[in-house]
Amino acid sequence: MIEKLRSLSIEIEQKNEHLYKVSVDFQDLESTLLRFLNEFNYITLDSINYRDDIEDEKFCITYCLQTAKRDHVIMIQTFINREEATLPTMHRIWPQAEIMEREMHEMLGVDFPGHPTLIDFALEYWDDIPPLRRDFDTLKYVEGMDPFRKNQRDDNLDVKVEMKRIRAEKKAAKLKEEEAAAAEKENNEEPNNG
Amino acid sequence: MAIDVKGVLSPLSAIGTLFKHPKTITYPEVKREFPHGYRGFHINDLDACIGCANCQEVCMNDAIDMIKSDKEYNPKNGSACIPRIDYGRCCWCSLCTDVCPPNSLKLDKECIHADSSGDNFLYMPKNEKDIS
Amino acid sequence: MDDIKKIVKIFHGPQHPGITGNMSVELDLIGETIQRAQTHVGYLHRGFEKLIERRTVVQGFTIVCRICVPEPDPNEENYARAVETLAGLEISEKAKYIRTMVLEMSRIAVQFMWMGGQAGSMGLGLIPQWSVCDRDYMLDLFEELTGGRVYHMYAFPGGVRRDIPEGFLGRLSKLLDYYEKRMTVYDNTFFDNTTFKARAIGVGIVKKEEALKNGYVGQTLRACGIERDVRKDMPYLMYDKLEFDIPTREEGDVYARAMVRRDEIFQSIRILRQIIEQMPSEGDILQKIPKHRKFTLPKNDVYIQTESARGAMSYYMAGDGSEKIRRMQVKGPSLIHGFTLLEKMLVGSELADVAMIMNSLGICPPEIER
Repeated sequence: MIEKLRSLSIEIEQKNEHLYKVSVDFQDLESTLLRFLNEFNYITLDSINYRDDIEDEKFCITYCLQTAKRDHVIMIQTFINREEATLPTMHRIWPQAEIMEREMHEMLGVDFPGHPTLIDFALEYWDDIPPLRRDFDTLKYVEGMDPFRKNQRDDNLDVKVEMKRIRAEKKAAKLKEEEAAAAEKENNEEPNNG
Repeated sequence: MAIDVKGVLSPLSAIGTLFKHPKTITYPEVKREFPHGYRGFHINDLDACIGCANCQEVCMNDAIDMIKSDKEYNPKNGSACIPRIDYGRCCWCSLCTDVCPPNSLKLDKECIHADSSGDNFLYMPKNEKDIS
Repeated sequence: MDDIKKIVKIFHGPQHPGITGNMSVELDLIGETIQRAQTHVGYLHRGFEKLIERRTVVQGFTIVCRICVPEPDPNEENYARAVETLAGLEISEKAKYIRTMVLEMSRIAVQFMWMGGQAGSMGLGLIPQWSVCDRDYMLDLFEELTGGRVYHMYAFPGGVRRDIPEGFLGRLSKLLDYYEKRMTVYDNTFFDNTTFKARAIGVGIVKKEEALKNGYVGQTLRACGIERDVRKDMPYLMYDKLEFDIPTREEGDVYARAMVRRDEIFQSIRILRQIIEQMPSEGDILQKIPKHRKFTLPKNDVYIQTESARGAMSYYMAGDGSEKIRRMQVKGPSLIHGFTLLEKMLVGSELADVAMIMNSLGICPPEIER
């Protein structure tokens, strides 16, 4: 199977005996999906996975298709821009894509022109940026809210700082002891001299 | 119309269970025995704890505080601090007991604690000597 | 005047004894027949996929079991296998046998809980009392093995966390004998009951032609006559060396799905007996892994599937070279069954059948919205 795909000059990577991965450009996405559906018999759309590569300023979208015998999975991967991200909707071919695209629209902010129900999936009255983007900081979002414990955990100490402090104290105490012992010794010797 | 005789009569065999002994125990007269290795509350052996804060580092919910110990502790304890656990955040995964180098932090079988104020859930693990 | 028919809108849930969790279905009714159904989720969104992005590999393993509440073990197994594939770890044969045993034990416990839900949704209040008690015996064994009854946190990347206690396999074997005898009681009161047959046959039919393309999994497929199971098609752990069958039926209605689940209990008992015989007595429980701030995942991604008690569960995991997990996405069987299949199937059904159909498809809301 992999030789047949390689001979058609499709760049393909084999992860293990049940999983292949293909990278395509955004323009060829829809035609590649239809080709794998019709020619190579990958008839089920199992899931649409996404990932925010904020360092390269791209979203990485992966379509996972599965054969009718459910013994082989192929990941078809593409990269799209972060600003004004759009993807073609697949819900006319695979009805399960409707709910997956609805979730992607809410969590990642991708637009699907022609989709019938782009409404909220799990979050109601959400007015911030789409939460699964990497620049949404969850700790900052809860900063202004009522804290769970008000000032009861303020006696937490940093262990490394304490270790340094105790070592310095012990050293200072030892130095003082040595000085005191040396001073006493000097005092004891003087009457002998005089 | 065909009547499903077996389907009508066989559920009546459930009446026999009226005369059998129930499978539940009469709590609170009879209390349940927890098996060895149950993940209950924390106990700490203060003679062995070295105050390294490995447990604070690995806790996935930020539940452990290292506070100054006012009781006697191990002379090898380099920071004079012992752990205290916030039971509003702890999920009892026992990762803290896995990474403890002298094996002083452990999980015991006790698991019942009820209080009307949420502030009393900042739990100081009992010393292992005081229990056994 | 009789031509004017009023449409009544009803919210079935989120607080309803006939729902398998915490979601709601908005129904438009004329009389008692449903014209339109719309699923609403969002009452149980805890944000797991965002929480994982701040945690290292070792810390993340404690979060994963909470994604699906009735059935935590396939989630732990998927996570462990995804990390092992990315990091290139191999586990020992004893650890593989122990993980297979835990998965099959969890499968039996879930089927007992399903039986209680299905019977309770029709009004047979006796069966949930019995089946929850019988599931409790299995949870006692889990407590001995892992330290907790429901959230086990046991399958770790590299093996398992603790060894089997002494005498455990003997106790497991006795419990399986007890379950085999107990199934005749359930047959008499539930599966052969004429009330159940009258209400379940012909209700909630799934058509065979579109089932594979639309992505249905689990008993929904097997009750239509299509024999697919991840354990046979893409085998993992020790499943290619154990003998078991995949039960199927032809009709595709609620009764067929119930009988498929009943047959699967017997197949799981058969697998567990083989494991008890073949369990090796020596071997490493856990491979040596780096400390938790030094365990880095390479820059790669992977897609893993495991068969849970309700269907195939898939994980997508990506690493980026640091010690934190870049991305973990969960897709359970209930996402497609709860939206695409349910909204179509409920049109034309009666109001009293909604609870039965939802229980029979095995829709679990914590899995849909993580």
